[in-house]
Amino acid sequence: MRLTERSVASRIEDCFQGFDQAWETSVGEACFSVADRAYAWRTDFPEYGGIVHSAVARPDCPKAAPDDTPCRILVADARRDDRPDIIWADRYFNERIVEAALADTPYRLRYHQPSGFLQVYDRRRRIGLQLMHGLGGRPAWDGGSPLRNFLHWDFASTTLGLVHAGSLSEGTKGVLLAGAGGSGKSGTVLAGIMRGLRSVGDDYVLADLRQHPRAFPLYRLAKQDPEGLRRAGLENHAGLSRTTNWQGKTQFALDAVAPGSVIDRIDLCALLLPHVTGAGATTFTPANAKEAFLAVAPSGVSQVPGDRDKSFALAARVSRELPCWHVHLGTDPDEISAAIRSFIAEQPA
Amino acid sequence: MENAYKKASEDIVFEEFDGDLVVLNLASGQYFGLNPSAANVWRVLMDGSIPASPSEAVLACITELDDLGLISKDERAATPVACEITDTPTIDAYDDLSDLIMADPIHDVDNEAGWPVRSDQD
Repeated sequence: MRLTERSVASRIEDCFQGFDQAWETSVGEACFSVADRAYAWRTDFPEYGGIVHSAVARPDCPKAAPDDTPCRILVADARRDDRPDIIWADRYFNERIVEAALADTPYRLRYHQPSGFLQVYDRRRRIGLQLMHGLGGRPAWDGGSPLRNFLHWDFASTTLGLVHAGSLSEGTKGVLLAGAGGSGKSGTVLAGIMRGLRSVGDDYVLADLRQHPRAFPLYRLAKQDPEGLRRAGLENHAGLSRTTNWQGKTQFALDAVAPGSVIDRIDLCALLLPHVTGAGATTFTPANAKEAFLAVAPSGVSQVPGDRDKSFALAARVSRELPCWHVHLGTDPDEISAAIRSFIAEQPA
Repeated sequence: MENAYKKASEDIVFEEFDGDLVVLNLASGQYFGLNPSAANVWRVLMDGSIPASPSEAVLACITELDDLGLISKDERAATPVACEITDTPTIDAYDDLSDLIMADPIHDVDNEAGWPVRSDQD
């Protein structure tokens, strides 16, 4: 099947012809959960199973109620004759045009042209298809957050969805941390969990604003460059790989450096905007909602395809509903972690 | 009677924060900040009205919104209504954010190294 900008809206439903048959002939069904949703998935690539299992925060599924149907995601080998044969036939894949074409349909699609990696999702039936031309036929970033687009498409709403932010908590009471690259967000999360604070993730979390603001984990991985590892005292940590990813960073599980640090839920009490200042001590000053929004929204809206208007609106709600603070980071990880711990304790529940 | 204005396209989304407005053009990736007076002009336009007896500054604001591709003329006639203007309406373009939108998400953007740094991948 050849898809183009012109035909995608009318033909995308056909991508799922043969899905059930392909599902039945795939191997290795596994399941993971995010918040109260279960995701069953199968793959033609056994090694990809290991990638997903090691990345997701909750590689298990709760017992489903009788009327709960888990989302099904099939990671298929596009080279097989018995798998859907889908080709993006336009010379270029213009993401925004395709998103607009599908916006009013239940379907979402993402195509990575260099590798031929294709993801297509039916939100109504909650089934997703990921086509790869071999295990290496995927974007370099995929290993750190596999199947993330499907999670985004499944959750995306103005009150529940993925937010680009780190997190820290004392028990289940905690904060989100948002900011541009280099703001100290990931380093602060790492320092915190190494000193007994907990987290639901340092890159993307699931934000739930339907009642009291909460955050849930998606993935348990983090990544740091060599300087970040050195600042954290992890440059010789036995549990970390010596290989680096496409960004020259080491990818590792948060609980490899801080066992038990990834928890199931954080009840949010604030949104912090970290700043590396080189100051002697960590201090907090109020931030307004617009400042917080401009720290949270742009990266999340740009990095995750489809339903960007919902991502934009969700980021706005997070910024309006949580007290927002600038945190001017000191230079001592012990002091930073203690300051954040005290800050959390002082916030109303 | 003057024509009303409307959002230039469905790619224009906006959110309000304590009287300020942030507008994003999803197609171009550009973010804009409207101060409270410009935000009031925007709200009047989005309601299908136009500011009554507009000052030069208000007219300039409307022209700028049009030039920036955020609004376009509608076929409907507009009703003049009062529009609270307390200072000069201003529209700030957050140019340092636009690269992030226009970059091919994930591949081109190094989300840890800082904006608008693009990764070397692909």
